[in-house]
Amino acid sequence: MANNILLQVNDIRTVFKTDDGLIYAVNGVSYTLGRNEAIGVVGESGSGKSVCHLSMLRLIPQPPGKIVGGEVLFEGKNLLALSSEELRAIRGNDITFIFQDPMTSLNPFLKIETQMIEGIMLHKKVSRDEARARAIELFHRVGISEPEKRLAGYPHQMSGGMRQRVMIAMALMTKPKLLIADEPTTALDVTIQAQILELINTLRKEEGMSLILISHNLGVVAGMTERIIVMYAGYIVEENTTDEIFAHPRHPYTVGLIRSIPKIHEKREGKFYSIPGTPPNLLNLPDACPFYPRCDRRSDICTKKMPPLATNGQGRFACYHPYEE
Amino acid sequence: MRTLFDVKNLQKHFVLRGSVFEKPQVLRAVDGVSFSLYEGETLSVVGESGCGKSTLARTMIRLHEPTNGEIWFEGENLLSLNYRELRLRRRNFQMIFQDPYASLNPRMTVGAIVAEPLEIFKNYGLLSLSRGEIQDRVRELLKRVGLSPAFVNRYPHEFSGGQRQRIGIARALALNPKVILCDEPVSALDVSIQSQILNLLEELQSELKLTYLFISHDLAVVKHISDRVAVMYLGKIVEMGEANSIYTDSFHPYTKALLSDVPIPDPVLERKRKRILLRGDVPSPVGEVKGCPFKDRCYLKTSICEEVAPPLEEKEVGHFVACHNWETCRKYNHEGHF
Repeated sequence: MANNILLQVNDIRTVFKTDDGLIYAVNGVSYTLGRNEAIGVVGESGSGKSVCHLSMLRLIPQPPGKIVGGEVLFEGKNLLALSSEELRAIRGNDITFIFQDPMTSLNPFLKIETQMIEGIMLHKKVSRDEARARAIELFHRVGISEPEKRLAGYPHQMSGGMRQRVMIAMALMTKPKLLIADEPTTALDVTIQAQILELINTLRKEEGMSLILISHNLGVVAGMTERIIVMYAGYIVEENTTDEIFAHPRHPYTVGLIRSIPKIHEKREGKFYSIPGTPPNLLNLPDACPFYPRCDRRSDICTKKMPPLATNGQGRFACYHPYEE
Repeated sequence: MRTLFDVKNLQKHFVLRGSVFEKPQVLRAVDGVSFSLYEGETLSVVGESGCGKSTLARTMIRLHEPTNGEIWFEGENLLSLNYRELRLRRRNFQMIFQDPYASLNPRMTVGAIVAEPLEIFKNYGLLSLSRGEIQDRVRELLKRVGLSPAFVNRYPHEFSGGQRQRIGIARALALNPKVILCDEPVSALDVSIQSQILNLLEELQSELKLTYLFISHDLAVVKHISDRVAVMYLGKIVEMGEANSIYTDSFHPYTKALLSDVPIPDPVLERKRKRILLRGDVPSPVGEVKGCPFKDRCYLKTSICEEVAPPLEEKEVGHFVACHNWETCRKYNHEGHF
């Protein structure tokens, strides 16, 4: 089983220094990801889902950020302990990233071709012609017409959907083992989103990659992943197979989140369900369940100690008063 | 049902000037839109970015001057009014914006923001409210939108996105408007907060008999709050009708594709479902389009679509569509068979 594990994250913690004090953005996240597995990481703004994954690849600005603990084992190597040089050999090569905003992730001054082949030339022993051939092949795969012409152009000549295709193609240049996609379709229109999701799904299966899909949109994650991690206030509050998360959510936050989504396939009865209150302030987070102020199942203990992430069958959840299975 | 707004063949074109040697190009943001807005209803305008839905809302209250067309509000032609008269009418229609971070002046207190419309109308001599009365009204408005009246002296940066949107709503309500134009009011909010704001908008609607023009790209939200829905593509309304018939019995291939592309938060359904994947991107609204604006991405296109732009016509009572092949589309099943 052990060599089926691609990535093992152990107790990663990240803080940010601000004038008002420390912001506890990621508070001990641990999980494992198998080879060829697709997981979703969901949570709302401030849940730490992005910072956690940027921290794993040491991509947060330090300072003000600081990774204060944990290890990230990628094929057995701890990414947090590698030298910058060793890390660079993995990042952008075996692990690649797609960011949310296709408008700002490309350098406006450089030709698409330069940006496309920069990574692979750095990491693999390939000639410029070979790199270019791979870029053209990938442009065909992601549905960019006239690849040669596009390679010679600049980002501003492309629409948002087109740029996100370029980002996907770029992320696949080195045949990575792991693709981390952070809200890859949030800035796109729904018809373009559908195209891009379909594309990521197909390419993942063909190339045999693992996928971490970070999103606030449970609908997007539902069709794309096998397992889901729910984050709140820098903690994992629940993890389970995608089917189980939707069929039998255990944590009150997960339950609330699923109920809050307006669903296009259902009729509404009464008011829109909403979770009362607002997400917690991450300054000086007390040792307590971060969700208790908004929770209708809370009791005294919830205010005194963060519930441990207990394993339960194939899932995990951190709650003293979970919903029944 | 009383008609509040009656918009006829509204056009808003922007002229794009490149260098002096180039011929200026025309961007047709709103390109011949006609509809009525009835008292007490929620009419949603949906479409993808660049389809002209926001420009439509801004143009119908003359935040942009229309290029062509007519805008009637309660039987009065808004285009015949001079600027001063128009400002007075604007108390009847207010706007809520998408970005709660950009739409509130960071240097003004919450109290001043909500009081501003009242102060302006007082300065016109149209409201005789004392200072104390304005303050009372502001407190009452804050309470009405679910904020503590004690917040009057605080600044916008002290509030979360959802709270800021409440402040924007309080400001929009200050002059007792009849119509509120909501431009993507919940798009920037997290899902758990989004529903709080939607509930508030619905409560206010039934309590104050408000009429909403609701602009959104989120078809799931729109389904649940609208009486009627208008679908826009490239500056035109391509389909309009009762929300229920738009969602269950759509006549336009674009509407069908949009609906099939919304991800469903249910893994079992989502895996089974077939999406209609449209080819390509939304085309640019710059320049003239020959034939149907949707023809390049349409999966039901026939030869007539290349030549003739289909007009928006009422095919069944209250259900308008602009498509030559609407009957084929109506029978077209997502799964790919008829």
